[in-house]
Amino acid sequence: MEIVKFADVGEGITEGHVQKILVKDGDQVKEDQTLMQVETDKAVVNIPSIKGGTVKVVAKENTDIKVGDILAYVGTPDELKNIPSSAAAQPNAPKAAAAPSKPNEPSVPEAAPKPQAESKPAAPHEGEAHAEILTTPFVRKLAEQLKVDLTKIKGTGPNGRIMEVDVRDAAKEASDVLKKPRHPEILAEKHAEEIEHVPLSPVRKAIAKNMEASWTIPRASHIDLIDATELNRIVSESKDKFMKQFNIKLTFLPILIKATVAALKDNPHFNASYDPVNREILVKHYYNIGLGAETKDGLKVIVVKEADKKSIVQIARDLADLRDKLYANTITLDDMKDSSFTITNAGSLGGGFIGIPMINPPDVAILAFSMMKDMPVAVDGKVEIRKILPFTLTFDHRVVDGAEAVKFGNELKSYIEDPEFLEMGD
Amino acid sequence: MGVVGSLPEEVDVVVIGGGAGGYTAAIRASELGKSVALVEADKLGGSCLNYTCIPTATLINIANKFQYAKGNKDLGITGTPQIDFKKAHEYRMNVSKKLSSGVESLCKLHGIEVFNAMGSFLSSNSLQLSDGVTLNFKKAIISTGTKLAQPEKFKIDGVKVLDHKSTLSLDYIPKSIVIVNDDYAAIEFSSMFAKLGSKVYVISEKGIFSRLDQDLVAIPKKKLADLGVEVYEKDPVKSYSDGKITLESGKEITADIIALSPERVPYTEGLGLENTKVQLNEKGFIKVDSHLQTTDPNIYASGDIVGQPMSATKALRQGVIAGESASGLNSEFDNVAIPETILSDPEIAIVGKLSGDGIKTVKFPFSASGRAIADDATEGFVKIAYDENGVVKGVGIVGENADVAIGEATLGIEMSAMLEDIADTIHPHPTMSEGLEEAAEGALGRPIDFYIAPSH
Ligand SMILES: Cc1cc2nc3c(=O)[nH]c(=O)nc-3n(C[C@H](O)[C@H](O)[C@H](O)COP(=O)(O)OP(=O)(O)OC[C@H]3O[C@@H](n4cnc5c(N)ncnc54)[C@H](O)[C@@H]3O)c2cc1C
Repeated sequence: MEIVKFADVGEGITEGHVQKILVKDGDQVKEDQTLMQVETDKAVVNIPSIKGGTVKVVAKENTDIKVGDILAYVGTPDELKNIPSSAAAQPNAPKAAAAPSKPNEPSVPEAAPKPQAESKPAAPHEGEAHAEILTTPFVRKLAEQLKVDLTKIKGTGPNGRIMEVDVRDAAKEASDVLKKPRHPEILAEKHAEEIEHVPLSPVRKAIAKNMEASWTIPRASHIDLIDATELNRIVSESKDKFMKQFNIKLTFLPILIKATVAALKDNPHFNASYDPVNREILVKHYYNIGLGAETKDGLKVIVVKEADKKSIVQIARDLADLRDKLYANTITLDDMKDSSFTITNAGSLGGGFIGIPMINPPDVAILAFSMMKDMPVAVDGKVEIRKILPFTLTFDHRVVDGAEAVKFGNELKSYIEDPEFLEMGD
Repeated sequence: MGVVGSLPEEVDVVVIGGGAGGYTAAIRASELGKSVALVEADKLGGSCLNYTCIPTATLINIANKFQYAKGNKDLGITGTPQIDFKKAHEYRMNVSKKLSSGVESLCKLHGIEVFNAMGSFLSSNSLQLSDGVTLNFKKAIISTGTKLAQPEKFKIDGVKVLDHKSTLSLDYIPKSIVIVNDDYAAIEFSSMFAKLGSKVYVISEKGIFSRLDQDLVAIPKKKLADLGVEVYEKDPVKSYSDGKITLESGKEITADIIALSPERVPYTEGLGLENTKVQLNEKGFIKVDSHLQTTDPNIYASGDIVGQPMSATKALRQGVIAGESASGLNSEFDNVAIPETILSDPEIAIVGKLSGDGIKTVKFPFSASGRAIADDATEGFVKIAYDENGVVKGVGIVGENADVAIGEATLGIEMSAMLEDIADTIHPHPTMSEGLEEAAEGALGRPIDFYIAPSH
C-alpha cells in the first residue's frame, strides 16, 4: 500500500488548500493519475497517484493542509480496510482544535505506581491530549514564570528540543504584543457588529509575506519618460501583418521586454540577487523576466524564461500561453518561478500617471511602466503632441546606486526610442 | 505554640500535614519570604520518615548486613553471626527520630511556626486547631496524606494481625510471617524477614507487581524462592480464623504474624473541607490543576492526598511546587517522569515508559559488567527504551545499586536526552552505572562490552 502525502513541492510552500478531489473511495486509479488538485499560494498543484490500485481518500475538499499531511492511500481493498476515516488522518486539524485552554498540565508520569487518573488536573482540563514536548526542567520552569505556552513554540534544539533562547524570544514577542491593545481589539470594542473578518486567500497571504520581505530592502527609485511615438507607430503598423503571419496579437510588452533585456545586459547588476549573509551580489547570466499579472485571486508573477534567446514573436507567444494558463488555472509552479528581473506593466490597468513598484525579492530591481498618454512635448523648440510612456526603476540601493539607475534608464529609453532597434523584431 | 483563647494568628501560608508533601511546601514558602505555619497532628516527617520508606530501608539494610555476615562460600567467607533484634529495633526507631527532629530543626531555622495539632478549616481563610488556636491565612496547602482502610477479611489487632506500620515496628523477629500484598511489601518485607530468619509466606492475590514489566520482577522473585519464601500468587484468601489462613485453592497457612498492607485512602476526615470550595474526585482525592491549586483559589494540595502515584518521591516534588504556587509563583507540576525504586534483592528501579507505540528497548546484562562480576552481582540488567528519533523514553534496572543509576536516567528523560547524550557521556569504571551507557550504545547499534547480533 502506498501513502499519498502532500509532498514538499519546493518554493517554500508549506501549506495548501484542497480545491477539488477527482476520485472517490474505492475508485480504481492508474499510476500518475491525478487524484486531487491543491491550491497553493503559487499555483494549483495536481496530486498524482504513486501507483495503480484502489484509492481511499482522506483529504477533504475545501480544507487546508500542510506539507506531509496524508491525502490518500492506494493499495488493494484488503490493505485499505484498516485505514482510519478522514477525520482521524488529518494530523494538523485536531492539533489546532485541541489547543489546550491551559497548557502544560502535569504530564502524566509514566512510571507511576498505579493508573494516574487522580493526579490529572481538575475537571476543566481532563481528557485533553498532552502533546509531548522536548525540553528541560529549567526551560519548563522559565516558561512557567514568563507565562510562555510551550505547546505553541517550535524548539530550535536537536529534534525540536525547546531551548532557553526559544522561550525568551517567545516571551519578548508576547510582551511586545501585549503592551498595547491591538487594533482589531480596539475596533471590536466599538464596531464588533459592523466588522467583517475576511481571511486572506493563500495567494493574498503569499503576496503579503512577499511584500513584507520586500519592505525590508533599502530601495530608491528612478523615474523618467520615454517618447514612445515610434514604438506606437511600429506596433500599430505591424499588428495586422503579425496577426496574419504568426496568428498572434502584437502588443507593446514583448518589445519592452526585449529592450529591458538589452539594457540589463549592459547593466548586469540589475539582473541579480543580493546575499546579505556573505555580502555578495549574485549576478545572473540568464534573463528570466517575471511579469506581474493581475488575476481574480490577486497579483501573480509569470516568468518568460531565457528572454534573451527568444524573438519578439516567441516572447509574444510565451506571454499568450502563460496568460491562458493563468486564467484557466492550469499554470504550474515552474511557470512562476526563477525570475531574474521583474517588469510590471501598470499601463494596462487603465489609469495613473507614475507608480512606484515594490521589488519582487530576491530580485535586485523592478521596472514599472505606467500608462502611455498623449502629451505636449518640446521638440526642436516647438510643442508637439507625442506618445509618452513613463517608467519607474526601483532598485536595491545596497547593490546599485542612482547613477547606475539613470544609466540603465537612459539605455532603456534609447532602445525604445530607436526605430532601428525596434525594427529588429521579426 | 498557641494558647487557648488567644486571638487568631495571621500567617501568609499554612500547611496542614508535615509529611513529604507538607514540610517541603512549608520550607519553600518560607524561602520565598512568606510567614508560614505548619500543622501536624502526629510526627513531623509524616508516614515516609516515621512509618514507611525510611523504616523499610533501615530494616532491609539490617537484614542485608546480617545476610552478608553469614558469608559466601564462593568468596571464601563463612560465619555464624548473631542478631540482637532489640538493638536493631532501637536503631530503626532512632533513624526515624533523627530524621523527624531534622525536619523540626529545619523548620526552626526557617522561622516556620510548628503546631502539633489537628487542623480543620473554618473557611477559605481560617483554620481551627485542636489546641484552640485559630490561624487566619492567605493561602493554605493541604498535605494530609492517607489513612489506612479497614481490610475486608482480617481484623487488625496489633498483636497477631498487623498493618505495615506495626510490622515495621516489631522489636522481635517472628518465627513465621504471612505477607498479604501484591506490591512493595510482597517483595521487600518477604526477603527482609527471610534473611532475618523467619519462615515467610507471601499471598499475592493479583500476582507480585503485576503492574510492572515482568522482565524486571522475575529475578527478585527467583531470589525469594532461593531464600525459601513460599509464594502463592493468584490464589486469594478465602477465610481466616484462629491464626489459620485458608486460600481459595484449599491451601492452609498458619503463622505467628499476618502482615497486611491495607489500602491507603485519602485523609480528609475532620478537615472541614465543607467550609471551603475544595472539591474531591470520585475516589475522594482532592482535585487540583497543574499548579496544584484546588477548586478553592486560596487552597493548594500536594502529596498522596491528590492521588496517584502515591509515593514520597512524588510528594517531595509536589510540596515544593505547592509552596511556590501558594507564594505567588506561576509554578506547575510538570515533571516528565517520576522514578520508582524497589528495595528488592536485587533492587529494581524504573523511570518513564518501557513499552508503547514506536518504543524500542535494548537490554545490557550485568553479566557483562566488570564491576558486577567483581561484586558477585551479575544477576540483572539495564533496559533502555527509546523512540524512533532516539529520544530516551524509559529505563528499567534490576541489579545491585539500581537506585543510583536511575537518578541519571531520570535526569536524561527530563532533559529530553537522546541515546547519544548518555552513550557519549563518560561513566566511571568499574561501576554499575556503566550499564546505562552500555545499554545506550547497544540501542545505537554499537555496543562495546556485549554483543548484539546485527538484525537484517
Ligand atoms: C510500606 C510502605 C513503603 C513505602 N515506601 C516508599 C518508598 O520507598 N518510596 C516512596 O517514594 N514512597 C514510599 N511509600 C509511600 C509514601 O509513604 C507516601 O507516598 C508518602 O509518605 C506521602 O507523603 P504525604 O506527605 O503526602 O503524606 P503523609 O506522609 O502521610 O503525611 C500526612 C501527614 O498529615 C498529617 N495530618 C493528616 N490530617 C491532618 C490534620 N487534619 N491536621 C494535622 N495534620 C494532619 C498526618 O499526621 C501525617 O503526618 C511507602 C508506603 C508504604 C505503605
